Amino acid sequence: MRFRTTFTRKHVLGILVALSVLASVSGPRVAGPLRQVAGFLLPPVSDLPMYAVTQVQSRLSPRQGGLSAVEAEQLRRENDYLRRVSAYWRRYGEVYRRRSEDLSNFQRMYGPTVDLACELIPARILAAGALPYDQTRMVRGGGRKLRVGSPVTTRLLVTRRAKALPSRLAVVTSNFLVGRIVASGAFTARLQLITDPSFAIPVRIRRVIVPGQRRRWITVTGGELPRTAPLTAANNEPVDAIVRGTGTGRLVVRDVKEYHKIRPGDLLVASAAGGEMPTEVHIGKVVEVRRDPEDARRVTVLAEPHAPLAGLRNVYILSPIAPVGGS
Amino acid sequence: MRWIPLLILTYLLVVVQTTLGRLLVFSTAIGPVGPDLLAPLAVFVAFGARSWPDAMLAAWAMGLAVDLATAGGPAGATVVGPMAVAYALTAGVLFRVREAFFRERVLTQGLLTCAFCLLAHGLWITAQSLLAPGAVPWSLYGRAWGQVAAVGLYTAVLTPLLHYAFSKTRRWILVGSAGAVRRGRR
Repeated sequence: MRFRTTFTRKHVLGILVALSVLASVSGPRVAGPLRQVAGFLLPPVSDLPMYAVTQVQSRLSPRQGGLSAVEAEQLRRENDYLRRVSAYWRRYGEVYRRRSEDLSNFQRMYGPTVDLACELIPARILAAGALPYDQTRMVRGGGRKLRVGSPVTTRLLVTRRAKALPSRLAVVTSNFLVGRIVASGAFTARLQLITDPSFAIPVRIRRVIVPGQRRRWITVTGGELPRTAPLTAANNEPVDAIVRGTGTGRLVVRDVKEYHKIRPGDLLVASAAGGEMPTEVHIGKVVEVRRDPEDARRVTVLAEPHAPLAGLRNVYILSPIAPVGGS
Repeated sequence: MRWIPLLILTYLLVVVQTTLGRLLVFSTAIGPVGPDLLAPLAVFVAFGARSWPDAMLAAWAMGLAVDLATAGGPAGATVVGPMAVAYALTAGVLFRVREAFFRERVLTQGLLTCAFCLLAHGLWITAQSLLAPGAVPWSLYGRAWGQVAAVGLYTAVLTPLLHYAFSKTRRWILVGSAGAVRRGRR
């Protein structure tokens, strides 16, 4: 007896749909490798159009248009203040410079040191997600397999030491955190932007004291009975918190105590204390502070990223040389 | 159905959507909104395919391409598969009901593409929310539906242009006629 079987397109469709359902319920174990395979197909042709897109978007971005009159005035006042502070410290610096001339231990002072135990891997954005809900980008980091969880910044590190430095020593200047690596393959990796709803990282909120601005009265709790005092440089301790992406291009910090008196203009800095970052890196600026309707003692802080995420092109991946937080 | 040209066209559309397509995305209070360029192609194929397995297989391939090129969603990281199933099922539904519409009309194309996006993307965000590792709050899910509606409308606006472009490549991706196309009353 012979069974005659015909393999039609309906059968193929049934098998493919069943495999899709299976892949769906298998979760990231299957999704990751499949996307890595697909990642080989996009880079050959996506580089040039992505370059065009980032060029156009960086020109269209309103943040490139300079400062508003209010911001310029605030910046001018801040600069005046910093200039005075700088002159003060310059005088002190001169005193210490004379004292240091008496010291002879140059080896200890100028010997090799490790400023930042991390390596910077330059990478380039190759493509965005296919759907607008996606807050990730495909990056290529010079053909290297990138470590999942590595933070990603925008700017090059700059050294200000006159002496020639060996590689890997640097001083961080104005770089901004833009996300972290969430998946990595042989040639491409997936960068999760800081605005992704599932992005979360420990941060410190640095309150900015602007000369001439209305004073902030904060509650100081350091080892004594809580007392109210004006915010000064002496008691301006950074506020530890967790920042998350909102999915709408902003960042949110929930459950911040109201007595910290966070205001628009304060800065969010990725905290090195959390262990994920080798150093502190700026993330964004507070744009709105909302009172918690259920608890008057807490507020929700909304911030905007410093980096123009829409026109992101060249980024740097911070890869720790030694385990971060380790000895 | 000519599968090789169709797969090449799908690939090109994915490349356009993941690169140049970012220029069409704009930020709103509910999140980024941009068009889904593969949805009009799926609708075009569902309109012109000779059989429902052809329409569903083509849509499955397009959905899989979208799935592979999308790593994030309303609840963060996403899985591969739901969009392939959603596209295939929605194209199957569209194939069944296509005789009831005047397919050559711009308004019909726009409305059906909007409906396609609502159905396929709605299924996708629901599946991704259910399969997400953590619980997805209702507020986030509701906001994602708002995005889906905006994406559907946006795609519908661009659909006539894309359908015109696809009609120029009809003989490259579709074989023969798709049965009698119902014409409007004169």
